[in-house]
Amino acid sequence: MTQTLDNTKTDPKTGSRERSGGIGHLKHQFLWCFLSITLITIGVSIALLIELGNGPRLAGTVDPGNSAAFLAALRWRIVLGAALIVVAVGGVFLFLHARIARPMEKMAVAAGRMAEGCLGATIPDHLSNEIGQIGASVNGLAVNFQEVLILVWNQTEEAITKIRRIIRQMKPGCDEHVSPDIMVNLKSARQDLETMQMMVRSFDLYDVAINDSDVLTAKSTADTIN
Amino acid sequence: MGKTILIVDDSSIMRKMIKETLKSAGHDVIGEAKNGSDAVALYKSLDPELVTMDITMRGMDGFEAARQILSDDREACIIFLSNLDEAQYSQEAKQIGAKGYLNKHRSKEILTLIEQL
Repeated sequence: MTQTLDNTKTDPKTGSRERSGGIGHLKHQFLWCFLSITLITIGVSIALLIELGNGPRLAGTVDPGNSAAFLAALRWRIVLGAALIVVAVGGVFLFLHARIARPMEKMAVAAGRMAEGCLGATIPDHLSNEIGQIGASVNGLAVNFQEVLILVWNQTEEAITKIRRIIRQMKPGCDEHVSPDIMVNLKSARQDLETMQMMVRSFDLYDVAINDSDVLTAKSTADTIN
Repeated sequence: MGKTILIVDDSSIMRKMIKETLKSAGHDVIGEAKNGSDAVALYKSLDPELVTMDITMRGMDGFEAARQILSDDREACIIFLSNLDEAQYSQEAKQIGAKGYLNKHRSKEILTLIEQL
């Protein structure tokens, strides 16, 4: 078993990685929100029912002045109960906004930038729930994609250099046995490779820039430009 | 005889590729880190014989991680495996105290380099 620090285990046979904890956090958070609101609502309702239960006794035994006081107290308790429920719902809303809505908004913006080719965009992945896990996975996808793009750049650069060398060696008069088709095909292959490089150049890479034909860190490129 | 190795790279695909290459030659990959700070922590806890280190990573980069590892253990054996231009960065790798610098698209050459160490 290979050890990592990101709370994942790697299966030595399949190489697949799985998280040892964290799955179901969002479900638990929703459950806690539901239970909090339900318990507060039930508590307020019971308090009001108890108060209402005292109503007939007070109404039957006490004078109209006390009855008005009872109604005023009841009204006050209803307002207090409603305020408590509003506070609970508001708390749940703020919690869900901070833990779900805001990270999802950031995720949508970053994912949109990634889709447009900006691989330097980072999705927040610090949350311990599934949203954090999605963020980490999408970031990982961008990192892998960048890795493939740079690999494509390096391989095509090497192939183009070799083709240029071959074309130079095959200049007219150097070798009469070379078919003209070979030269045409070599030039065509070079153009295909250059098209692939154009595609790679159209992406904004994370912390890396392609300067002429070299892959450099963004800092080095800035130093060169300055 | 195979060496115990810690792979440091932010790309899971690259870690997988390097791991397969190393395992095919009988080496034992005992840990994987996806950034420099994880690498420093795992180096301390696993004490591997060799570290393959990427340079560009989110968070702490490979050069800084190598500096920290080598400041704790002067004998640490670190090989940089990067996509960055070799001519530009191999010198810096050597200055830090790394045992080698290889381009990732020639990662299989790491086996020859390990044999030479």
